[in-house]
Amino acid sequence: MIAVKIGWFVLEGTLIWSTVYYGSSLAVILAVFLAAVPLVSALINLYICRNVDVEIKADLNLRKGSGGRCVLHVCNPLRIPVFRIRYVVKAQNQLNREEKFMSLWSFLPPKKKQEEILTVKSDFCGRIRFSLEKAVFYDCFGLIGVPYKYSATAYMTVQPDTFEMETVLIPGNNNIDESDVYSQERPGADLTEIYQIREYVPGDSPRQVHWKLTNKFDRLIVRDPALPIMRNVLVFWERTGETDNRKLIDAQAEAMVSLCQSLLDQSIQFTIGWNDTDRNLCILYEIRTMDEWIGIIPRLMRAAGTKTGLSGAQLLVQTRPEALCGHMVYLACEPQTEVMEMKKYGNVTVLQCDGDRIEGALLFDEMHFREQLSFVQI
Amino acid sequence: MKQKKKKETGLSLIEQSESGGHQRLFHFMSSMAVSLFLIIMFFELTGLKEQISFLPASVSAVAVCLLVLGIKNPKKDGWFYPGILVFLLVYVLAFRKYILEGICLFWNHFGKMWTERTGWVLEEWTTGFGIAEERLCLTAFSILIGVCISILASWLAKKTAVLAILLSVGLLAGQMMTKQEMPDSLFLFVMLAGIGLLLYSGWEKKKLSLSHVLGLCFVLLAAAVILPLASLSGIKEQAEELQEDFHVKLHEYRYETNDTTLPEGDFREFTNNQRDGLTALLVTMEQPEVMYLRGFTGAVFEKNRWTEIETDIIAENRDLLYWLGTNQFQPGAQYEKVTAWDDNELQSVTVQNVGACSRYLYVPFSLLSDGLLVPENLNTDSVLSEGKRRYLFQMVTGAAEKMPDVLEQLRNTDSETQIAYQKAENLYRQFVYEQYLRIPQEISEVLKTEWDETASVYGTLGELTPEQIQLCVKEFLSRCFSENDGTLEWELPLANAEGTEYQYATVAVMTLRYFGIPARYAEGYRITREMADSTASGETIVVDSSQAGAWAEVYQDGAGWIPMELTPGLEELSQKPDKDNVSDINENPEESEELEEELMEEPEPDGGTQVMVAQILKKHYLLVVIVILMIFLSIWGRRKLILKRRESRFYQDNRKEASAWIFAHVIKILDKNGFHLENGSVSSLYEPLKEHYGEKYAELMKNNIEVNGRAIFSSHSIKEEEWKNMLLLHRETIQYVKINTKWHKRIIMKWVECLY
Repeated sequence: MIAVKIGWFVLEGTLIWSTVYYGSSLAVILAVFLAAVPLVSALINLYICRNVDVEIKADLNLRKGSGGRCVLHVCNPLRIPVFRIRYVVKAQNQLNREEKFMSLWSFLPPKKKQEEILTVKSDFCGRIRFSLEKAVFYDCFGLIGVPYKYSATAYMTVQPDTFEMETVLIPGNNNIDESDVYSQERPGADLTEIYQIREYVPGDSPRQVHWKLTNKFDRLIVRDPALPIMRNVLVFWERTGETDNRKLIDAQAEAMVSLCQSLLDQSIQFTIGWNDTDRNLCILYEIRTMDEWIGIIPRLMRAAGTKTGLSGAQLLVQTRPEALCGHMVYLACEPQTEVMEMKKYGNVTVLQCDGDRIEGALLFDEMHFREQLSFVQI
Repeated sequence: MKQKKKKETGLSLIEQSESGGHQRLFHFMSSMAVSLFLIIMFFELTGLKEQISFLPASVSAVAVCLLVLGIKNPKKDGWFYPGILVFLLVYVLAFRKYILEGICLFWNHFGKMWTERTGWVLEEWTTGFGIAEERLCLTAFSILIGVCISILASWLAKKTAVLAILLSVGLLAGQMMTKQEMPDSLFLFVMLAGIGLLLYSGWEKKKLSLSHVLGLCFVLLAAAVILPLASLSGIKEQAEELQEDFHVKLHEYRYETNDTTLPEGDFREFTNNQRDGLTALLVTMEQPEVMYLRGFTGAVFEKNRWTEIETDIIAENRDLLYWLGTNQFQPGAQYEKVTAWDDNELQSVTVQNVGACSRYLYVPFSLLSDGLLVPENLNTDSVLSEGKRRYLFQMVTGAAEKMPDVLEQLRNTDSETQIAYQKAENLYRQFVYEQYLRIPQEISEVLKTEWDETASVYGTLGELTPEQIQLCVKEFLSRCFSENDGTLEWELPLANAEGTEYQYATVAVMTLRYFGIPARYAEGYRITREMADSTASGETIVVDSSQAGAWAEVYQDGAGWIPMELTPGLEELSQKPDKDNVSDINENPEESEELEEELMEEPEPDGGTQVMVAQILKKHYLLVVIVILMIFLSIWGRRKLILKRRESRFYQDNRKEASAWIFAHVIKILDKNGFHLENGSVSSLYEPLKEHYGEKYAELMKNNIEVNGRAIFSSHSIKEEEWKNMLLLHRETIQYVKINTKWHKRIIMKWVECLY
């Protein structure tokens, strides 16, 4: 655009020079026209900018590394065109606070809706917030801009990849792990409860055979053991003491999601939590089903971290002690000292990637976290 | 679908842009239009259109543009532009004789136009081909021009704003360099094309919708609709007024001070508010004497304004005037040539122009030609100074007193030098008699009766003797001015300067011309007898505004332009002429004819010599300054860009990459300072660095070598502190470079290689 501005000045300079040096009346008219267009346009744009509607729409979910769409819809209800508009779109990954600004130049025809399409790509997971920072309405030479602020936002969640993580609940000494609730979704190993009755298929254990029904129907009938649902688990993500290394943040998010996935696969109901570093709050959600978990992921993906401040562990202990239970997983970049307080309430498994190692903590880094966290005892 | 990637990071936003076939078509059309406009402009401004049609150049330009259209992406296909340049080279080599001849023909024609426009002579180049082949040569040359212009336009086709700037700058520079104004129609088309290109600029990568195109058309249409306003008389007058005012202001800014009083022959808005006591010149001479220091001289009087002789008349007589100049005949220094055989007493005069207009040099008629008068400049009636405020010249001492003797000797000389001079003078005299006897119609209509009435006392107008003519002039002027008590029945020219010596000089010039004596109007400063007598040798004479004025100058055959008051027979208007002292106006026509015949046998003037490039450069010093500034600006901009790019690498979020970049840059700086890596090992630098920059720096380097190794080869992350240490190393390195490197090397490192 700078070339257009320079071009305008050169053209105007040529016309002024031709006027004063050669006395050309043509040059006067063109010089006046060239000078008047930006001024008149600026006045018109002052009126137009208040009437234009702007909206941003974006795909809800996105895989890491693949492209998604963010569309800027601009509607001009007037009969006057805008020759040049510059939109500044801001995209912010709310998880790792990475920001990108994009400047778009567009033309807005009269009585028409214009679409500006952006392809979004992120190598890191997180919730991306798109906002229109400003729209500047220019004349056709891009000289005088009339800025206007619109409140248009959209969100897109870049889903974290998951990996195979085997989680085992270690029975605690003081904790009651028995459950009265069994999964309706999948079979388990508790032979005291029946998940379903079905016909025998090769490979079934003889212990599963329901002899009474077999006798009655005169064919082999087996019973599947039920899966008890555990609610005695807390998975907490410490967002204080966060690093600048985005790959490490990404690894933590993947570990967090994979761990929860693994627990859900075992029908272990659990509480997930993290600390909101902006408002110094402890966020906790109880996850019972897969749907609930899917609904929580976008919220988890906007849990921005901070280097210093009130730790999540402290908040948890002080403000939400009722959430502390027998099996706790504490995932942190750099574990905070208050994690020791949590240990008074139950078994705490610390997953850490930086800082002083806590005794018994599982260490992982951004390169090998999949192998390092393939087996976790809770 | 094309995608434009903005930046390669974790999060990326990519603008989707659709490019269609319209782009290439538009680029073709814009490059073709710009090429054609530039070709037409070139032909128009340089006068090539008078020699040959612009068809061959246009066809070749269109052919190149079509070729570019046929290539999918000329810029990416690296062979295209080198290929076309090779083709051009082959073409030039194959037709070199014709092209060179064409250039010579073009140059000679342009030189004539240049003289018409400026009064300066350009060197004429020798041409070898016959008239029959001239057309072929010019065609070859014009094809070359067309191809060159179209290559440039095609190369810039994707940068439409640059094309618009090219058009505009081409127009402006062409007009300024060739001193030729563009015709209105062409000017309009060029400007509209420029505006159109600017409007399109920025949308090259966008798919233009119909409404967008209509929007652009609307702006151009609006421009076209208001254009008829330009023909309205009010606007035209306004533009002319602006032009006039600008030229006046420019002239005032360049040459004048608050103390400048002389009107320079322009009496259109004259008000006689001349203030006395304003210092104009400081003149220092060895032998103070009466002197008429003339600055502006006017040959043509029109609409209350004296102007110099028109450049087209000078161009018509270009060969004659130039030949005279190169043969040491300068109309501004004739008197010195006349008296050359005598043991002239010369003196040096230094003039410090304090408050007078510095466009002119204020010099006397007895000036020596050395240095001040340039043969290439045919407009030597007024000797131009172009802003110089201090100058030195030599002049013949006591020229006014010697005048009668000089004229007498001129008639009786048999010196070969003098005869040669007289031959040249004879030719110039013819020119003078053609140009300096013209009287404007409106003045002639008013004063003719009075002039005739005055002449009738002495006889018929055509039969008056020189002495009678002088008497007539004196009588008429005394009637007009000495006896004018407000009852004058006719209106004298220059009514708005009534009673001033400007009017007197104007009437005197007209009257002299009517009676057949070539005369011109001169303005300047007088050193009077009293001033000369009261000043000691070498003492500075202060010439103030009270000495400013105008006078008529008469062409004294043989001796050149002499102020009327110093002309024998015209010194005292009320005094009867002394017959012995009367000038020899056409006294001996037979001798003149003989001289003329002899002169006809002389070889024709050769028509030109080298142009004073330095003088032209001086005139365009502003342009040179701008170019130099632009160069500095581009160097500064380039450095800023490189530093910015480097900074973004150094401060990127990925500290590993950032550290690697910083370290690589440090090594580069050290390499430029003579610390070369031995066997590719950075560790080998430790000892030399310790020796030159000290142990502290060497240790810092050593630590960072390890960090760099990790940054490049290890998966371990780089800590913030390590990255900061790397930055510290970079800063320290630059500090050492600043201290230990020689200034010239430092300039290269800083501004050319942009290492810091």
